[in-house]
Amino acid sequence: MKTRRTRGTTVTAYLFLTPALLGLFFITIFPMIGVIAISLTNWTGLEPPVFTGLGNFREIFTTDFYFAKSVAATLYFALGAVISGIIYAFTVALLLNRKIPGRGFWRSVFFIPYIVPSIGSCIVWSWMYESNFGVFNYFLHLVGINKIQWLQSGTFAVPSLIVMTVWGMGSMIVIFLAGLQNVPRTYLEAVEIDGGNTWHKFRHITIPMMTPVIFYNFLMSMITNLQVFVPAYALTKGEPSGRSLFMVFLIYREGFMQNNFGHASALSLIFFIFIAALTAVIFATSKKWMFYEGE
Amino acid sequence: MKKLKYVLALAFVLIAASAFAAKIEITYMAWYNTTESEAADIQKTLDKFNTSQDKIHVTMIAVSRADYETKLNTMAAAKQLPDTCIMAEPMTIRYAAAGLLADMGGVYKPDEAPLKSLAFTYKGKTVGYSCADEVLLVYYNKKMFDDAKVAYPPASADKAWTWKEFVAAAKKLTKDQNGKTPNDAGFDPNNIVTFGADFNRLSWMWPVLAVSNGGGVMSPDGQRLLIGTPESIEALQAIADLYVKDHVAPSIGDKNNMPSLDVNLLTGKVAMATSGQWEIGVSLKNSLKDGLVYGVGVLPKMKKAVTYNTGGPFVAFGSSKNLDAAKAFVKWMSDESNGWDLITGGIWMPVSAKWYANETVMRKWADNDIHPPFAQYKTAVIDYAMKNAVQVPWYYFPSYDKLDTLINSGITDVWNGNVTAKDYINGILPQVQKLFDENRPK
Amino acid sequence: MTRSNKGMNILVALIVAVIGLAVLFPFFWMVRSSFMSNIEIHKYPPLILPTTWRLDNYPYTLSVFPSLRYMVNSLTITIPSILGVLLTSTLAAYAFARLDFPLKRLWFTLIIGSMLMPGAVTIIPIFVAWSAVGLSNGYVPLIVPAFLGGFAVNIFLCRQFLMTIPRDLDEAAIIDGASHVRVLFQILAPLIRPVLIAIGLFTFILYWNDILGPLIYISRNEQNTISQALANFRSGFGTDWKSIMAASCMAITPPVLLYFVGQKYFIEGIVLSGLKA
Repeated sequence: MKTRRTRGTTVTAYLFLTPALLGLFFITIFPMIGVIAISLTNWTGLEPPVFTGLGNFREIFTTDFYFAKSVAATLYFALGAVISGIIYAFTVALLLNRKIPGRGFWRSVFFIPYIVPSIGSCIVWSWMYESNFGVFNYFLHLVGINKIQWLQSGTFAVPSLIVMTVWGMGSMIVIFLAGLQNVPRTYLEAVEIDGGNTWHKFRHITIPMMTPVIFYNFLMSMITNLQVFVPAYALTKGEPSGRSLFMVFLIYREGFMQNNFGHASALSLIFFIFIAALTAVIFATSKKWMFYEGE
Repeated sequence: MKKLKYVLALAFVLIAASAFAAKIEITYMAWYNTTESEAADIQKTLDKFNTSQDKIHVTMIAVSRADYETKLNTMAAAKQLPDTCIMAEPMTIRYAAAGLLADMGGVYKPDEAPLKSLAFTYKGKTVGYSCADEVLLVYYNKKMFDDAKVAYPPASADKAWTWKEFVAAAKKLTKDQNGKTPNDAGFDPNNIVTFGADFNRLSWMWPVLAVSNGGGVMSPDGQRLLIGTPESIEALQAIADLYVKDHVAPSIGDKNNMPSLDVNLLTGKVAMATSGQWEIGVSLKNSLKDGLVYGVGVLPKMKKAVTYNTGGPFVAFGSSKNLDAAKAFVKWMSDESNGWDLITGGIWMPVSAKWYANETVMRKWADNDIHPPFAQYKTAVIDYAMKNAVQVPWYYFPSYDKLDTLINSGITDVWNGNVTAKDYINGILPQVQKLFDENRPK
Repeated sequence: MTRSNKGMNILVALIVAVIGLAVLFPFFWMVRSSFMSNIEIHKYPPLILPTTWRLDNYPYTLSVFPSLRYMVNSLTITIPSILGVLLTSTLAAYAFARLDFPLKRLWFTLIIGSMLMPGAVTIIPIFVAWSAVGLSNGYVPLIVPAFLGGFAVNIFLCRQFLMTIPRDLDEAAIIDGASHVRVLFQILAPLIRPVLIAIGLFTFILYWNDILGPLIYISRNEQNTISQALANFRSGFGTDWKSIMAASCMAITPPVLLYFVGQKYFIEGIVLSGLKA
């Protein structure tokens, strides 16, 4: 039963929608046009812009020194963080799904890192990762392994950041937990009646029923983690040798520190197209592996 | 009626008087390194200016050093630059090339002006002078040298150590957890407790050795790129070898995690290290009470004895609505008597020739408890700065920060020994050359 | 419960406890470090607990790092933003959930689509726009976006929740002559309170933790937010770890406290956003 569409209703609706529509245009649509416009210039922020056409893009794909490194670093980090995160969160959710004592307490424990500001995380984790005095190397020392330069070595820098990021993914655990609790008991019991064990329940009921939740978490987490900024800004500044030169940090550095607004906007545009394409791909392939209850 | 006229006249006079006496408001932007409390010291200097005259009133804008470039850039883009500021050296000439900095040419009388080596110039115009003359030096823990029976680093440029001598001394001072030096059999490079030497690998500092070898980042006229020359590559490799081959220096990762210079020397973590003159006042003085006895010397040389000089410049922005007042303030700031505490405190060195004219005036600012013994300081620091210093290229090269970032973008691999200096430099040279040519002052 | 089930539960409980303690470890480390002296912090092998609990670390840290002022700055941005988000997103959600109007589908699709827009892409043109109107230095650019629809995801959440509420109450009120505004604020708002509280809490966390925004728009250090100030504090020379740890502890206390107070709504909010999407 719809509300009668009257002129008064329309006016009210648009009145209510005005802030959101303003936001849509001024935060999303116009700035996108702005990014495209600035990317076609060599604007430095210090002098009036000069139109350079596709010069920035040509430069980024041919001679730019940082672009390829940044793409590699960003993808490595995002995929690593998201996949590890989903495995971690799903596992913990499965564990918390059982009726164990203190479940509510532990759920809070796993969730709280999500609330910590990323700068706070960076600070304490960087101290734990510290090669000479940090506690992680102390633990290694206790089992006889030589100390590792966690945040400074080429092999361990990004994985160290990934571990720190996964630690903070408390919200994913809660979402998975809620999803698990929504799996209808009737289905699980049906498997039991048919003689199936925990593994069968897991593989044939739980996982398929959870695919929408996994999909949502994967998509949202990818978008968030591709935009990683604080660890690069506060900890590594792109070191060692560009292995943590994440894209948003590169855009910030080029634009706001080195006065390359034109170039940075071109990077932003390429970045956006990439994320949009990735989102589209995830949506398109989701039909293949997602399972909806009605089917 | 008459009363009204009287009142009006009085009001007119008052308004005119207040307008006449109204101070010109200008802003001065400066950075603090870590904590806001440093800004309080800057404020004291500004208070001095404000009370010393009643025409101009200056307000401080304090910004953390980490965000300084960003802040300046956002203000520039928004056309809201302050009237004056102390500029981050690497971007100064870029701003000059964009026409944002005022020409400081006519501000000083010829014999009043600061040293020429401290002038930031673009197209023949001076856009600012460094706030202080800062040079790179060697600092060392005297006691450690005494214990190891190694001669102190020389305190005058004509006696400067060659690189070989420097490394040899460092080796005698390096100790692993069993007390062995790199010269002894069974030396364990994975468990060094004392590092003999740390040659500062900060991106703009390390090329000083390349300059000493006849290379450097670029020629002093800013027209030729020198970072790719064999001399420069040799210097880079030598510094890296301090860790990779000679085992006398900490890895770059360890170095970045070490506390300040004074703590490193005091705790015996490092026997000698290179850094700027400011360390005397910024860090070394803090450990004097804990018993630190340190000495200062000149840098080791490869072919000739050179050091870098630098110092953030005071600038006035052309966009200032009160340009004359801004320039007057800048001139006042460069007068040593207004930063006297920073000078006697070992953080700054004077900028004008008159404080270097003879020993009497030198002693006025350099002979005190905070500075090392005057005889040593005079030859190792003052004479060194006056005769052997060359400018870091940011005094005249636009966008030195971009060049610096590019050259150092993968240098960690060189410091760690993963790639040789030669391969690394040759690998990035085309990019660097392109960036250099794009930005060369023309 | 069968015996193997019970055994399984105990095993799981143990695993959870072990992982949980590992997750808590960084917090423990941060708090413990904040009460040690710098020399103790640098001791190797590291001490588990400080030998003397230096309570004076906190007053000292406050003297060099005025956390309270920074937190007040953060609140100055956060609280108006929360109000803005709640107000404008519920208005928009009501329009989509309860009203019918031309182009409804189009706007809804666009707004939901903007949910997938990565915010970092448009920082430059948005900055340029604010500079052009001369407001790029201060809190305004950080607060205004909250009043422009308060982020698509919140509109979506509100709408979904509204749609679960039967229209009978609405209809009754409208027949009695109430305007849509009254229907929304007096009748429906109390019913969707859980969602509103959850949104409020999440917005708080979002603004409290934001660094990139203040980095671009706040110049004067007196106006720095707590996250921004903490980042600056850490980057200085000769790091003073005990103070940094103490400052970090102070910075994370408000969000953590808020969590404990609003725990129920936090969890509900996440669940809602995850499941409805």
